Amino acid sequence: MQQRILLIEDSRTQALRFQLELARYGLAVEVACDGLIGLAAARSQPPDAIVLDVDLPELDGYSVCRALKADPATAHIPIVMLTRCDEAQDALAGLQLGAVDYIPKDAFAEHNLVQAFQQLGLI
Amino acid sequence: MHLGSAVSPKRIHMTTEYHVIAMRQEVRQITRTLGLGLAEQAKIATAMSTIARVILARNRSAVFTLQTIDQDAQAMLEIACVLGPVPVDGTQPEPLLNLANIRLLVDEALVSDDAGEAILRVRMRLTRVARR
Repeated sequence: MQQRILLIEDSRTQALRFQLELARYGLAVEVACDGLIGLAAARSQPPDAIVLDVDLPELDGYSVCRALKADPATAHIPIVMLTRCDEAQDALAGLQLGAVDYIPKDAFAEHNLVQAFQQLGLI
Repeated sequence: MHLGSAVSPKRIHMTTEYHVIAMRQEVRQITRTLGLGLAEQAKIATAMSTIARVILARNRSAVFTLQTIDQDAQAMLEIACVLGPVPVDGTQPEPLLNLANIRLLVDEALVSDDAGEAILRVRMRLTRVARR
């Protein structure tokens, strides 16, 4: 069965970049363009994994992650956080909230995202 | 659970932000190969890029050496960097490197005096409970 990924990312360009890469590996990717829409989408139809940008309009990625992990219906969903910020405290914050991975948006981001999903058994 | 196998020492010379990103990716790849979980990969990669930026800002260049070591029968990934001569005025490099934060991400982060040279060593245990 095709694995469903919810990508919560406000940049259309970056969303498309990740969507195309994940689609190459047979993943069905749904995109939500802000934190509130993403949270609602995850609750209405829980995906197999979530790719969550940290900097989001309406509700930031940390808040979305916190809300999803606090909800028994979505707490089990692996969350991979994407960030422009690559500092120790930020990574720690994301991982302490329950994200399984924390990936900087650099030239290797798509590769690392695919590797993460392989390690999670989704690819 | 004992993870991975030995990694031959690998040296990375850094002079620009590009090298920081390249090293972070190298750390990712090595820790992945060694079988660390995703969170551990993210932690040590972020710790190293955070440290590397501070060192680059001060020293303009740095050489990091990545290797696996055995410490008291414990396999570890060690990333070392020569910071330069130990300051004669007694200045401690630890606060500059913000090692207190770094230690929240890795198993060990310490600066030692090795024959007059200050050397930073960051280590991550390679024995873990099986995890994602």
